[in-house]
Amino acid sequence: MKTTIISLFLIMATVFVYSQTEQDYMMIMVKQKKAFKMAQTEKDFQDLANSFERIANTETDKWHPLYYAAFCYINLSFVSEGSDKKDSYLDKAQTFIDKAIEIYPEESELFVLQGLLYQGRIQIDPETRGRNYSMKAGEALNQAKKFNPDNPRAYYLLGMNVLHIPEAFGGGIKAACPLFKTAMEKYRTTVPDHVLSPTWGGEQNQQQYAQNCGEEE
Amino acid sequence: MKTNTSLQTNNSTMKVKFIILILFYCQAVFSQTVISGKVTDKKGEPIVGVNIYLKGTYDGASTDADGNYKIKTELQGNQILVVSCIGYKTCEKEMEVTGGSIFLDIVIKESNSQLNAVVITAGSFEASDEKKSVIMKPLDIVTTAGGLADIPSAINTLPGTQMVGEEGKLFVRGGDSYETRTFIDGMIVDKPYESTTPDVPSRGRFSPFLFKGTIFSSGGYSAEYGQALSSALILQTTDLPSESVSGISLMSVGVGASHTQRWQKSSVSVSADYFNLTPYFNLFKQDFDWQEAPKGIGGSLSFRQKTGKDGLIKFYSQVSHGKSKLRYPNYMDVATTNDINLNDDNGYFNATYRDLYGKKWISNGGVSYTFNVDDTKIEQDEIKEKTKSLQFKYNLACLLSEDIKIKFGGDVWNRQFSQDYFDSKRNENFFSDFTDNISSVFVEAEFMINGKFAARVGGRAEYSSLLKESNLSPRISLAYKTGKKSQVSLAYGTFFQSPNDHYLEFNRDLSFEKATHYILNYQIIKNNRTFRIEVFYKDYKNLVKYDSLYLYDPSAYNNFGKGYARGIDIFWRDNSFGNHDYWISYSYIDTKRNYRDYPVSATPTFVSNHNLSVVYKHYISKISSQIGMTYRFASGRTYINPNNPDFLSDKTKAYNDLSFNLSYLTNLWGNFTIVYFSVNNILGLDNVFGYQYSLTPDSNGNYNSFAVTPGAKRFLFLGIFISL
Repeated sequence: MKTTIISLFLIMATVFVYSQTEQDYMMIMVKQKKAFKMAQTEKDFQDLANSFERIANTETDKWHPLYYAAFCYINLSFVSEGSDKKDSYLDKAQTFIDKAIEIYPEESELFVLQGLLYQGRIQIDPETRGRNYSMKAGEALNQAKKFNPDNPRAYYLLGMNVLHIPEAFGGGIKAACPLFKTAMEKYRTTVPDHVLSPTWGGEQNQQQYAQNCGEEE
Repeated sequence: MKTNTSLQTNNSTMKVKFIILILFYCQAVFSQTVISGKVTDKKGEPIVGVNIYLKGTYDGASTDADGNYKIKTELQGNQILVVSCIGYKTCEKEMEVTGGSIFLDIVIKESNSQLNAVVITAGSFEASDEKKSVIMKPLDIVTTAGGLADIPSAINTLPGTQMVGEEGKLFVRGGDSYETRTFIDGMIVDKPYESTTPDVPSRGRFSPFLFKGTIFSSGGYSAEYGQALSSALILQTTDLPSESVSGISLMSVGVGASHTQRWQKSSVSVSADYFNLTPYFNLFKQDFDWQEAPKGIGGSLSFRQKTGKDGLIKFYSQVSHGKSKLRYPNYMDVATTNDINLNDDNGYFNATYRDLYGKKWISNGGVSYTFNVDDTKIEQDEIKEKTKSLQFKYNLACLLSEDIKIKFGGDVWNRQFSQDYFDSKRNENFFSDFTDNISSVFVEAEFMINGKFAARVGGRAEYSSLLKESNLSPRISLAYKTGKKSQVSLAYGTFFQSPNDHYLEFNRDLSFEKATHYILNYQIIKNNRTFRIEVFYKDYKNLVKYDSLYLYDPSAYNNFGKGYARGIDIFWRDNSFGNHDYWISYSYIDTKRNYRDYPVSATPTFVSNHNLSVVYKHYISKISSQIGMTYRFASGRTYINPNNPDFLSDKTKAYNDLSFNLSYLTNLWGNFTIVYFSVNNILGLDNVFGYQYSLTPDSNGNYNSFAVTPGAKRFLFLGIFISL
């Protein structure tokens, strides 16, 4: 009897501790994900990036913290000024994406983020980087589509990619609209499989569609 | 779930849990520790957004606008505090967490890989997409007007180079063209230029589209590179192409086709091209008397394979055949002419393997092979020159820390040269040849202190089996940041090169030629504007001299030649406008040398004291076109006038050229297409590169001459490049 109580106690204790950390993890991640949605300034994103990085350093087998850390740095690149600085934020973001892909080489969302990162590179110097990085972005996004054909963000960003490619290169509005349209359907029908799963892009996609493809409806 | 049910049913465990909870709770109340303080840099400036945390935990904070942080933790005992921020070195500090308040101010050091770290720039210009803060992009080489997508021509708009229109090669800082060596992925290219008949400018053999990075060094380069007195042109080929693509090019001078197939980890590219200037020469009258316009065929095959995580195997090969026939003044008596018939066969192979071992070791190895046969018939005489060149190279780099890198390696270079001369008057063959094995080793260390000071110190040793001689060249480069965006660089080094093939074939007792470089450079890059100024002094020793009357006699050659070059190079580029930009290069040089058959020290014929280039590019997105203009000015060059007893004291008039190009991006039958048009010397100015005098005087004792000019006033080029 005594031994059973002790062993039971041990089981309880470990389970308790484990589920506590898991709970902590979920709680803080959900909280930070919410904060991320509200973030606007460089300071907001930097603080969140730091927080996600701390979590990622501890939870080395999860991709969500790495994903959001990278996403924060991509946003930092978007909101900051100066091309060298923007690039250095993207360099940092890339390190998180690389780590995450190493653990989850077939996670569609990570390739979406990779595509977004490349699009960030283009923004810094469209003239010299446009061709090269739009190809790289396209490659990453098609990979994302391959790993999850229902990922709406893959279609949305592919649409953005195509939209910014000149018509002569096979891009432009006409080529982008079907992608925005598919993305819209996927945004409507796809249910996130995890509370921490990315959900962004629906509104922006709607906006792009309305702006560029409105009269076709 | 299971545990939950058991929890509810098992009372005793519930109690245990309760006790534990209370215990935890109490501990939490009594053991909370607050760590706070300020994070600053060395100057005491607060740093914002620093991530400061206890290793392996969520407990941490970011610094605020004043650099302050506050971490609350319930942990106890020995912990490691980590401080990290972009642009700074991450530091870790062990600390005892005991509860209560801990005040800790932290000073962090700038990381050397940070945005504004110092870089060694003395003597070198770099074009790259991957690195930041480089002065040029690979695309700049393709889109420079007057450059005709030819690497050496585009490099010729940078300071330190000479305008030598009848050669088309790179002449750097008072150096002859053979003093510039071309390297592809670190491997030597023995014949980087196409073979041409006299006074017809040659093009580089390699397409600029093959390369992702170009470093043009006009002096003071790394100990990794040897056998070049003046300059190194270091080309890096592209890695895996991003997608499969086919291309067709239709040009006013020929046609070409290519295909690239990309797989997950490898790719293969093939290309073939044919050029023929006959239709163009028929349409546009040439000043040269072409008996047969230049024509040729060529092909290339390349291969890329990724191995493991970081390994990459690259293979590139190309072969070509070219021919032409020109009726040109006879140097013996320029009133008469000769038919010069040239046949050229060339092949180049390059295979390299790069890999990473751990995070510290970078391994690079490769082999390259060049063969070239130039068969020149001058009327009944014939000269057949064969070159075979094989190089093996291997080097290792070790990143000892973020601040220290050591690189070492070596190469073996086997060269075989032969010349077969058939003298029709004597009906006799003269054959000469040599084989040389040049073995080299080098070691080089790079360090950086605080991102402010950088040094590259190294040395190179070479041994030539033909000369039976070795050399040792120290190389030192230093750089120091003088401001946030500005820096000063210094470079010193000695450089050796084996004498020209045409001297070695008659005399093997010669020594290496030697140059010593001293370079001082200042550079400021601010708001997409670059200003660079460089002064240099170059000392030449052991240059080959000979007596031109006894060319075949070994005793006519010696190493007593010497010379100097000094000057100033200025570069300004304004890239701040977005859709247009321009750069201006200006070089002033003062140089004299006594080499070859010069009777006295004099400024050689390929030198203009002043060289100026203005390159302008404008992208018009409305019509998806880029237009470019290049203006070149070079002051007069010396020429040898046997009627004037003062050697090399005559000068041509100045050279002026305005070139234009247009690239238009469009869609042909659903395929991405670039239409490219260019005109050189749009204003049709008369340019003279020099004067060639008869080697023998006429009956009145006068030496006759003719002006060396471009083959035609203007050159027009139209090309359509379609990607399928």
